[in-house]
Amino acid sequence: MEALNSLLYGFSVALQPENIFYCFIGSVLGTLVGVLPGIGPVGAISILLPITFKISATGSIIMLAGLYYGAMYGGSTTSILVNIPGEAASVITCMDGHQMALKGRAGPALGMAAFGSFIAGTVGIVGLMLFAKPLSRFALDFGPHEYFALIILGLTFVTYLSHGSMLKAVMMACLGLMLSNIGLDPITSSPRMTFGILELFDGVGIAPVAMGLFGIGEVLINLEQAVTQEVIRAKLKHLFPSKLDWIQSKWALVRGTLVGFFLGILPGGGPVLASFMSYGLEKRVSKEPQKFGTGAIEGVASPEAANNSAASSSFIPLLTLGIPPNVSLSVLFGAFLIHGVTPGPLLLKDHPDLFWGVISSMYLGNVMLLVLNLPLIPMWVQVLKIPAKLLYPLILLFCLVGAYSMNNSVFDVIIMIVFGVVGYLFRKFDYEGAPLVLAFVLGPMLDLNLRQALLVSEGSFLTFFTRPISAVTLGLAALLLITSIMPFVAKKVAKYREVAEDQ
Amino acid sequence: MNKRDLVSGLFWLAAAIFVLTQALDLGVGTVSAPGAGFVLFWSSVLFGLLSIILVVKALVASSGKQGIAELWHGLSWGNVVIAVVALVLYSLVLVKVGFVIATTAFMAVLYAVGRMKVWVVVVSALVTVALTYAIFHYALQIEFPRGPFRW
Repeated sequence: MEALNSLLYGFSVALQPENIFYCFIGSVLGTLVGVLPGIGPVGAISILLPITFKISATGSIIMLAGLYYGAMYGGSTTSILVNIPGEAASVITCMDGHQMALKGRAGPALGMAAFGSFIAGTVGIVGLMLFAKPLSRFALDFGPHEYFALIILGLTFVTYLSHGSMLKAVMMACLGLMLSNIGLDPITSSPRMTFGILELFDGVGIAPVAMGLFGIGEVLINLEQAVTQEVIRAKLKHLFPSKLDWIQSKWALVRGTLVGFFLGILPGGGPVLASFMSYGLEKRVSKEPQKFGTGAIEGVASPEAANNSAASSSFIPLLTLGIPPNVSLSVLFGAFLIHGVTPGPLLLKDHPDLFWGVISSMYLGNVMLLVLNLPLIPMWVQVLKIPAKLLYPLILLFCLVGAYSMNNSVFDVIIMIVFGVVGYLFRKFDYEGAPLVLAFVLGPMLDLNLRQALLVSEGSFLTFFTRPISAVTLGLAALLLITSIMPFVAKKVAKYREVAEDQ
Repeated sequence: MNKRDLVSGLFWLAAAIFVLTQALDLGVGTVSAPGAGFVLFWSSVLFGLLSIILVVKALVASSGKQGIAELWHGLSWGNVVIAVVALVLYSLVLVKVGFVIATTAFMAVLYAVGRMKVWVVVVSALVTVALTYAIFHYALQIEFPRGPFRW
């Protein structure tokens, strides 16, 4: 009953005309970002951050959240029709979605992606609504020990789940931590690595860093490649999946939703991981695994359900603990701070309108996205035809305007350009930006909480293991590290044994 | 040898040493009274150690096709150079010449990279700047540098 009352209160906020408008804008932009290869939700949220200055905190977060989960919907369109994922969480949808399109079943593939996204997204929001309040209350008892442990777990997860070299991912997390130390020390107020530059006293902003790494960097990579896109020209009809399609997909949808929900909550998890894991799971439990990759509708339903469910549930740690679980929400975390709102256990008490308004707006956004994504698919396909020579200069311009308007300062523009070049080189040299950005956002919290905990315990590290939550959390982080190192050690041991046997 | 990882590893090692010296200057403190450079110090130590591991791994790697030049082989890297130079110049002249002039020139350069006709480049740049100015300045009330002509 209490949850229902809270939800109704949330709807009274979300249904205000201006918030409906921001939700709509966020959903449209999200779909657009999802459809367009070359810029993902992280870059788009970063670019839009400065624009939200003129909007209320609630309206801003509703819009940016809409963009985030909207991108999950839009990404499937390009995956299915062009075989180019609009954003990372839809990479796996290419496998079977595009095969379905090649076999003349683009309509049911797109329909299943949209309906699956809607169902899973809605279930994810219900979960968010039910879990957020109790977790928020529970988190009120958290001290520096628990926060430090949670941040360590988050950073361990994000490096553990990195796509490439784990060594490089840990390095990027360290780099993010070091960069986050730039600015005034939160305890002693002494300037750190500011080199006498006044603009650095407040630290480096998340928006120029994220815009550079994920906006400019991405455009630079695309500028040097001649990408040719072939859109499936078959007339899109029968968007509603058949009865057989639903029967084949029902359990895939359920499993995808559950996997997505739990991986979304996990620090370092999120929609990308959820889509891959759910596809893998679906293939494993299938009676006909050989069907996957040839146009199996379960291969579309499961990852699309997972990435949308994860997009909703990933708001749980952000709103209740103040810890962004993935890089997109790290930038969204920046949006909260820009508006003077600190996400965390006190958010529900201090800003109930924002808390429940954002959650309720997600229901609204999901309905809007279903409407936007099904009948308007031909329009989104047309968007794909925007030539790159027009699109990329525009993205660069939006980044420049966005970075400048943050503080009306060219310094932010320079920071963004530097990180743009860095992001480009990262891609060239196989480094990932995600661990850097997550560590960059969590760095100040880690610094403060670690030092506070050590001050209180008079320098005893045992203090982290005498409190149950921090002990379990750090234990989990250690377990993850061990399991990631184990295969490497086992491989080495096997190699030595082989050599010894040969001798 | 993996030249890519070797070069990047050595670069990161130099960066780690630099940050380490900064952390020492700030004061690391003790475990019971950590100073302003405490986290910076330990993260730079870890970063340095990982960089050394990367360098060593790169040196013993057997892969022969990990050269630096291959990273740009067959790609239109000239476009990237033009874009980066345009971005840097834009940031340098924006306040001096104002948003309208700087952005028109910037967009014209980027559109020209796409090998469009001259008149299309000019018109596209002008239309883009007009629309951007209308949306960001008039609708979103963002103040742009006006330059010597006050626009």
